[in-house]
Amino acid sequence: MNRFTKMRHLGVLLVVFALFAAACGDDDATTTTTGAAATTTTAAATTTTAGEAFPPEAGPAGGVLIEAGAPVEIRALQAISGEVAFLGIDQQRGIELAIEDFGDVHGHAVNLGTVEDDLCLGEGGGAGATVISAQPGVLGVIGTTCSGAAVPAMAIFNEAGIVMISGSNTGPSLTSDFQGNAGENYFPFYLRTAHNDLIQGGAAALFAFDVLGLTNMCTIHDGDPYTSGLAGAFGAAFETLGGEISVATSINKGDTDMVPVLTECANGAPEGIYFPIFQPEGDFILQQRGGVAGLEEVVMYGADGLITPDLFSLPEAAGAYFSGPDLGFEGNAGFTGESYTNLVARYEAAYGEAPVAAFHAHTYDATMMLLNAIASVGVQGPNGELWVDRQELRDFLYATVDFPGVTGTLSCDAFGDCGANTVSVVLNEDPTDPQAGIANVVFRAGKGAGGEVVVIDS
Amino acid sequence: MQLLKPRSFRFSWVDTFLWAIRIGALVFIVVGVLGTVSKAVDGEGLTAQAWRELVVTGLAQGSMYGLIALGYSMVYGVLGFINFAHGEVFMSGAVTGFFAANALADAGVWDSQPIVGLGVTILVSMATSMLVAVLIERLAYRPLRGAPRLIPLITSIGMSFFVQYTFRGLFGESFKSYPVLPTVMQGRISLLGIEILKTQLVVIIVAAVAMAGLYTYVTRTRMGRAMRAIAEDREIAALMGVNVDRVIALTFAVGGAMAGVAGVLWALLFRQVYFLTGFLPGIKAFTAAVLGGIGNMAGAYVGGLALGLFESLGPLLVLDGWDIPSVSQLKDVVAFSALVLILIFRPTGLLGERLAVEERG
Amino acid sequence: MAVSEAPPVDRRKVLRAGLLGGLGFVFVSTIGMVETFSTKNVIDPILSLGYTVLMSIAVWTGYRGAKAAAVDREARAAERILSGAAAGLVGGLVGAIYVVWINTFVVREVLSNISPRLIELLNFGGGMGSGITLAIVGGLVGGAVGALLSLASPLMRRALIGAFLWVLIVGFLEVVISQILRELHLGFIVGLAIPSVAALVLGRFLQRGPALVFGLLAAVALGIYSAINLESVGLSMTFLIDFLYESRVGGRALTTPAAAVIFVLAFVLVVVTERPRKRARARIAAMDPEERQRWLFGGVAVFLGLGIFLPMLLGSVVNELLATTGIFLLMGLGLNIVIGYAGLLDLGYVAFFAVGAYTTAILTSPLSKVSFDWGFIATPLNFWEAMPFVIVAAAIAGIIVGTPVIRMRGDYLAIVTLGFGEIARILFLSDWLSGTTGGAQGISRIPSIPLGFTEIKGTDQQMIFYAVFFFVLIAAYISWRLQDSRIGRSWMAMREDEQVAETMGVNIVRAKLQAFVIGAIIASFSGAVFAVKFGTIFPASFSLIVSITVLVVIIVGGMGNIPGVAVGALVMIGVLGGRNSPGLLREFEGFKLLIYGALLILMMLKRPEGLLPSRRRARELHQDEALQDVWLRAAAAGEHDEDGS
Repeated sequence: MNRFTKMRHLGVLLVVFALFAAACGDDDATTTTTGAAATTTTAAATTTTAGEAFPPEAGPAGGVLIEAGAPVEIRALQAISGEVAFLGIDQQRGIELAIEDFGDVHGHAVNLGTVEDDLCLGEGGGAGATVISAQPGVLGVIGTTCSGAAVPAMAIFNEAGIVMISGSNTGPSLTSDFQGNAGENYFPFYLRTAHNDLIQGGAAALFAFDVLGLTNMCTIHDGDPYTSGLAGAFGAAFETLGGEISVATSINKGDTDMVPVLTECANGAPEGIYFPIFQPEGDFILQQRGGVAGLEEVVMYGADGLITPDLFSLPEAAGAYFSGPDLGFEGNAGFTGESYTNLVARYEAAYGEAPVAAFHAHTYDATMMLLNAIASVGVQGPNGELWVDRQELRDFLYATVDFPGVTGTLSCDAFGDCGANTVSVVLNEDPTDPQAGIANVVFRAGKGAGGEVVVIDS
Repeated sequence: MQLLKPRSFRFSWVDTFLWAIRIGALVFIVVGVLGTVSKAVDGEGLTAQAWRELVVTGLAQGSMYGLIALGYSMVYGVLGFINFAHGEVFMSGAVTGFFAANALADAGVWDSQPIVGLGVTILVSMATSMLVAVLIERLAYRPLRGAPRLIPLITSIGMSFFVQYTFRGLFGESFKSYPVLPTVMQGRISLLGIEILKTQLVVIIVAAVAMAGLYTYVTRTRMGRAMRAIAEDREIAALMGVNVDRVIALTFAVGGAMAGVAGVLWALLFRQVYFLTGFLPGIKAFTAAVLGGIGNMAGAYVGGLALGLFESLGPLLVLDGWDIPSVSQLKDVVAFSALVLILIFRPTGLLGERLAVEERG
Repeated sequence: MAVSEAPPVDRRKVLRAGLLGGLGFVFVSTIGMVETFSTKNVIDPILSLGYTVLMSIAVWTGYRGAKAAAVDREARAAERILSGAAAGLVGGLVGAIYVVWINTFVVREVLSNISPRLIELLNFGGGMGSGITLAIVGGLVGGAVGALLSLASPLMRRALIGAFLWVLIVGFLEVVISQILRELHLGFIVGLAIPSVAALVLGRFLQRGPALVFGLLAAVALGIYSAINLESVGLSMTFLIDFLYESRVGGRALTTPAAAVIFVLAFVLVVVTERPRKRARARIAAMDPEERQRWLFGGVAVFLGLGIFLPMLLGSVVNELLATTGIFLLMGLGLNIVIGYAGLLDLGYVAFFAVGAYTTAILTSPLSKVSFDWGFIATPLNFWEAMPFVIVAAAIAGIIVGTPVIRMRGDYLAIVTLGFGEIARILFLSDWLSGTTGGAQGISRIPSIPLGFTEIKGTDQQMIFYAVFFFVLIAAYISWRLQDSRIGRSWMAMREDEQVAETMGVNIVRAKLQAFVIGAIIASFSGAVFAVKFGTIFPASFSLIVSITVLVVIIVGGMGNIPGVAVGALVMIGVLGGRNSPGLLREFEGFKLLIYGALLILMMLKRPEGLLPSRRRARELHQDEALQDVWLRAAAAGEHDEDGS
């Protein structure tokens, strides 16, 4: 019996080994399978084609043949559950409105399908991207909400030749540093209509140093990749200008007692505090600042995560500055000519509440860009089919110049940064009228040709 | 049951290791404090006023931990398991309190009669929290009486998710901002030479009063005695004619009421609540309960205060002395390290635990 | 219901069933479930998931109401149907009152999900009148249907419910099933069939090891050969996809004919297989240990065969889910050693997972700021070179967490380990250590696992699954060997009673540290694969919720039992999805954690020993239950409500 047991263990080990071998042998199988899957669409096409030229030969990333009557498939990958769901849902609505406005693409309806949840985590981005890329014929994705989810998602989309345009990722690592160096998480099929942190950090620092004349500041982030990245970009730009970051510190999400962190700031005797964090922690910082000795006179300076009517109505938020992507969308009109004012009115009618963030505008533009690109590179077949080459789609998007969007005029650079990249600083003068505060732009800067920050008006 | 059994252990390398931890931690703390002191001597460090501020905010935060911790401790006392869903009981009070406060503010009562407004809000919040706590007990825990402890623990985790997402479904996922405080409660007040926020003072006082009231209730009344009897030995108590189910339900109700009070106090200090508000404070309060000696009511309160103080003072007092950057971020590291250290030095928490006679290991 | 003496229908129970049903209706409507689910069609034009939920509630109410008719003796069919319908009516009335309420008052300010859309849905497109009528009629009819269901034989009932569930499942799995059908080819099927059949046959007839092993290997090799070489024989299944699913803008759902076919097929299948299943169960029960052992071995072989070949069939979505499941299963196996074997309630288990992931990332990523060159080894390492470091780091972490808690008991242990978990996460996140750990920005560009001739890329879900499977096998083997070993026995003794165990000569210190270290190493494997799978890690992935999820996995699955942990991971991660990962039922996203919580509670109330418990633990639990009953009888003295448990 004993010997038998031993043999069995040996057997198990051998099987494990065999499994290993199988795993390796299988690799070719997988690659060919994906190839086969990609050609299924093409193969199906040849049967229906009457002429020789349709569909054209697919580029390196493959192509999609949309049969007559079948919809154009695009998808959304947004944070729709969890703590930042309000941002993801806002973006989802922007996409839905854009699809409604754009209408059909050469007679094909546009299908958004089920919105996948990026969970604001790499896990969600990876899983969502797997599900999306498993569905045949998906041409582009609008997402993700969070930069952390974007990286694993892009690794998958990039292989599948699916373009992804984000309305809210701002991390420089996803595109470039504006000096011609690709970011460490750059993927060729990635684009965004959101701004790049480097511009916001640079513009915010310029305003603090040049306009407000501050020379010593404290920065606070909350451990989120977005806030830590922005605080870092601000600090670097501020020090380049000649200022000093006496204390660079951070809190944790969920913290409520801000007196310790403010005391830590006060220790460096700063003239201003830059805290590009979110609610509710931002509220706590504003509210508890008054109780900390040495901070009575400092300039409170937040960022876009805090530009909400709710926060602006805090009595303690009076006199605070906030940097963020320029929200003066009122005069703008989107690609189809729809004015932003009208868009917001329709948003409220459709969803029963006013937008809580500006990201719906970014995804609205992103969706317009995507659909316009599909319509432009799409080749129409003799029987109402539509052929879209993935590489051409990607290249067309990257070549976007002066695209009229509700967020401004969009042009893409060589690393997929397409955002208007206009940053404004607002001053909250009167907490009883928060909307006026949000519109009270005191400084505006944008991206120059060389990626530098250019003051527009101040 | 004895927790530390030095006789039965040889003085092994583990003891050496534990002593090394103790000594190392002490050295770390002393050097850190000295570093901070030397900074203060150089005139770089915090002012005396700043330290006083930190103490006051620590106490205010700790008072709320203490109030929530009471619920953990009492349930642990009578049932012997950790009720993970207690943070949600706290949240339910805070969220419904918002609707009461909002209605009162719309009616003008909130500003014109601040005491009435606050009182009504606290009552609404207490009532909801009590109801939620009692419902949870009735639906999820009562059928599990006598089951091994992991079972109700998992049930309470499930309950925690369920209550959270029920509240999200009912009231939406956005933050709810309590109305701006009445003017009488804004600003600061000078007390014993310390400038203290009025809200913080209210929080500390209300918490202390609630705590004292509860203590009297448990030590002086019949029901309180029954509660303690059950904590001592449930079976004997039952034989002595105590209605176990009713007393346990009452325990949950009282714990819930305290969490409800904490919910409104929380809103006074921080204004914003939403469906996840209960999670972190719940964990912290649980920590506070253990820190003070779980099962011990005074211990819960003391543990809460201590935890609040550790969090507000620890990073700047100890870590800053070591020139560690972003010390505020490490607040929870300080809090949990303090917990570990205190349990190494005093395995039954600060005030020691009141354990039932029955074996719970 | 005109019965004079000893009424057979317990009216209170009927009423209670009805009210509960009504409450359920109000609950799912108010929290927004009906509205959200109404956008998802189950059967294309006819039935949305929202209405399905409402109808199910009505049927369930009727079923419970009908049960009330059989309190003392077998009630007549008419009585059952009447009481079922009555319960449904009560529920319908509650629903009608609710409909009136939401039509009359605007409550959206407070209850944010009572939207115009919901009101429209509950009014069934018409005005308030049609809403009221349909709520009452729907309740009545649903209740009657539920009552009929309770009249049917158990087999019939199971078949009907099973068929209904199958329709739902096939409807839900549109993405997965289409992918499988699209990529199906002959090689997969042959490759899957050969080793499975071979393993079954061998497990049945052969006793001796060598024959078994070589036979199995031959079968596996043959399977691989056919999988690769028969690949060109694609099986075009697009016609089946077109038959099953309606392709429309706004989501895909089952077509009506497909739904009907699936319903009938599933119904027939349940009925037909009833007898063979019963027979098989009886035979398993009657097996002697020797034979059972042989079958068990066959089962393991089948499992291995499936692990190798099934992923080729399943497509990337399922493979991704299986890989995620495997990552949690690995952690579950490790935590099972710590809690299930040694009885140490560790709530900070995520710390070891994080140590594994971070050590791998720091040593292998070219972007890492940690670098060394020791001549024979230099950064960036590859995955295998990093493994020894990962194991050592995990062991050290295990000792650091384990030592201070050696003398702590249950709950102290829980909170202290929880604290360690949080400490680990915050340290990885902190600015202080960001030079090494990347701080809030995490670490990216974690490379793939090299295998010499090929590599395991994070984006290749099938290969990642194999990597996870490899480590799962190792962990399962370790667990299995430990179970009945000397260490395993000392753990068990320690779990039962520490003092007694110590008196009997168990070295408690060593036993506890061994549990922590082995558990930590297994979790670190999981972390290492996790890092490769996503190619990038952020501290947010290592929150407390992961520890809780793993605990839930092993307790739902069946603590102390290896297959139990696997089942737990499959159900709680693969199908439902945790807080940090979407599962198979993605449609439930917004309500996932609500359902998760409700299931946990139900599970603990109805089946606390887990889905697949170890026999020993089930026995312990039921023993407890018996004791509890004795106590309850003594304590409550007639006052206790029997219905509670």
